[in-house]
Amino acid sequence: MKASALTSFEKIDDYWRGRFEAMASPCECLIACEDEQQAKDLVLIALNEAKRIEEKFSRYRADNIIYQINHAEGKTLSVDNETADLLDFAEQCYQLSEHRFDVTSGVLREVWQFDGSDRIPTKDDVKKVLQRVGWSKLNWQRPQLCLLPGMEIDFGGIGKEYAVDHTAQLMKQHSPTVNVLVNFGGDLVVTGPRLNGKAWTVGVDDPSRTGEGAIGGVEIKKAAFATSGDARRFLIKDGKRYSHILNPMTGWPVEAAPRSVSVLANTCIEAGMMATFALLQGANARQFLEDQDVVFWMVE
Amino acid sequence: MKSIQKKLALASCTLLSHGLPNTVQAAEGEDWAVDGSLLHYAEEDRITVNKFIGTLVTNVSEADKVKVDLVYDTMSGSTPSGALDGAGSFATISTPSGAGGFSASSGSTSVADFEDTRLGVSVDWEHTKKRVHRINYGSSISVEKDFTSFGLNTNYAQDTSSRIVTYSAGIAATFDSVRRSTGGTPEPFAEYGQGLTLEEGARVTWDTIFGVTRVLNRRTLGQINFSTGLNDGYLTDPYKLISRTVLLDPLDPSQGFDETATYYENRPSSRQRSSVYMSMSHTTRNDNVMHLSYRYYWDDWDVISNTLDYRLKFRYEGGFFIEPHFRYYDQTAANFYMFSIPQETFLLTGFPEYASADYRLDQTESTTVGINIGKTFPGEGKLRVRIEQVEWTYENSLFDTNKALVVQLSYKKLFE
Amino acid sequence: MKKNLTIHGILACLLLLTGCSTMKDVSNAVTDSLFSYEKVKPWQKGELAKEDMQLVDDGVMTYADDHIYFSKEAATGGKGVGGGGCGCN
Repeated sequence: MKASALTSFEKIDDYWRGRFEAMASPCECLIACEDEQQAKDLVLIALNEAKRIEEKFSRYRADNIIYQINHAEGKTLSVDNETADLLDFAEQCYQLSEHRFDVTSGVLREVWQFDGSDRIPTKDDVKKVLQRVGWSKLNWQRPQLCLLPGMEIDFGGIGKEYAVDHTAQLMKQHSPTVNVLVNFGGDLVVTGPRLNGKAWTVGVDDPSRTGEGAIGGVEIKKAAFATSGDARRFLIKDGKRYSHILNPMTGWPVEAAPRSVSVLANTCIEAGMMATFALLQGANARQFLEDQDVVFWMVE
Repeated sequence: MKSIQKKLALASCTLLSHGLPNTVQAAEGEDWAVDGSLLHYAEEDRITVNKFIGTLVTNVSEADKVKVDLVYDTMSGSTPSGALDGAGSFATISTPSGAGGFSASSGSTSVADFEDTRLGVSVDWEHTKKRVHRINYGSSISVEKDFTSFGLNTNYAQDTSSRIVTYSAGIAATFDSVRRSTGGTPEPFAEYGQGLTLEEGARVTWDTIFGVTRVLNRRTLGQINFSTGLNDGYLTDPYKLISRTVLLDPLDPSQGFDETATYYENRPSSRQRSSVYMSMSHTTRNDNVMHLSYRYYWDDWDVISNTLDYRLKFRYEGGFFIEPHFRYYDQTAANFYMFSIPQETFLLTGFPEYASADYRLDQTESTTVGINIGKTFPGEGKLRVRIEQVEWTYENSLFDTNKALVVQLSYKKLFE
Repeated sequence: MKKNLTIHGILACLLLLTGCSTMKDVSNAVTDSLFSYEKVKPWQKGELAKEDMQLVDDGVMTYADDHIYFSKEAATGGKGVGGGGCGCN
């Protein structure tokens, strides 16, 4: 990957910052080291990995495993280890969330387009699409996957956080003594403190002033942080706000979901899933988060 | 609403660990685990023990865990009885070279042959309430030819709300029945082969423990326990003997001595024990795990002892590990321990109130050096083998040292 | 006290092998652990939850050791109560 694919690369204080676009999000990597070349190498590793994962699991390509899976028309497919790991994880999330999190729910986008307009589907529309939604309808026996015709797998809810963690691991393998902060579109992980020994300060996004304001900050030396919310995607009809968080069991948006949930955890995938599970709880989001052993921020 | 945080963390780790080293799964997510182990213990020229240990742990429900242990031992060989060789005969004479001079020849009373098998079962039930309270109820039974034991125990542990500190308290009661394989127990201080055969020996043991476990920092766990216990009843070893000796030259002890008679030993009928035990586990900067512990023990038989145990586990890719182990132990002699009953004292005051020549009550120092090697299969189990060499040195006893080789092979398997 | 050269010799060799790093590890452990106290947040407990970090991380080996030393030495206990006795002491 050419260095020109980076949108910026500069030294700030005692760390290097490289930025690029991937997975439809602004991405940045903060590298705690002195050497410019080493920092650049690490950012390029991140860029490469982000692109690789994006290409492998993107719905918009016709040459990857996701395309094969989503167009298998009922045939059984054998998947590679990484895809299998993600499917195993998706299955566990399906169980842990009591079926509220379901990677087969992507097809609901056929009837729900969250473009800020007032077009909501009819009950019949939703019922018809719902027949092709449901993890229990597919057959997953590693490494073989069999979907009903018309069913789709969408790793959109897992992909970015997984990329963050995996990228950080690769960077750590390459330079074990260099600490980094990897942030893909707001989901981030910190592998260790800055060169001056201090923590990295991370701002928690204010959903009503997305990208422009923060409701608070957190100092992170070694942890992951992820935010889930409906900041940019929703529908309004007759004064009612429909968040883009859909309940895969009913096909309708989750009621009274908080505007945003941020969670701090050991890994980005864990933080991201916990935040997503919370949103899926709707009105019970706060109670759910309090019952877990996690640090969280919530905006209702 | 129950917490899914641990399960989610485990699932996340599983997703991220494939292909990368050193991520070991806690067995927590599994529903049950079986651990089987074979142990071979062989002393130089003395006892050999072969042990089979099996443990089954299962989560019966969200809040209940049951553990069942099974042990099967076979023991054979010979063990020092405490008596000196050739009691009653003048055929063996000690040499003044300072080496002690008595050797174990077959047919003498200084070593006793024995053979036994033992079967033990114990069951423990742990119930968790509101995640921070844990109660354990346990019971155990052990049976062999000359010994039966039955015990009950209960333990309560509570975490603070931040789950940084755990306080625990426990109590146990054990009821033992001791006898010779030929039946009954010997009359204390009767001459060997003579005297009455008394009934079985019975004893009760009470133990209590109070402990605090604390997270010291994100890579260190520490624990301190205070224990105290009381043994009450028949505490004598029905097989152990003690000889009476007479100096060959009353004016020159370096000339050695001869034994004139051998008697059954006699110990007090109560023993009060206490100990302070500190233990720590720590992950080093190189991602190795260190375990260090120290125990200070004292009882009313005047045994004072120090135990230091250290292990360092080096972890490698693929779940392999190598763990060297070192243990140091020492103890002072019990106040009624004696190598033999000197004739001179005997003539003046008769038998002491209590006397035992059991080498296990002698002033002792011991070091263990060993290595444990194994492989963890994340989410599936753990295979390990260890080899250790233990060496005890005794200050006074007839046999100055005892060396033992320990080999243990174990395999743990986790099931959904 | 009678000392034994063989045991101490083996010990010295082992220390040399696991050696320098062990001594450094031990002194680091002392500074990192005993003197480094911190309030650990829930999300920082990843290391502590690992099986290797449990104070009794291998039940069958601990059980075997407890029995060996119980039958050969005068001092007993300290770690916990219960678990079954045997006729060996």
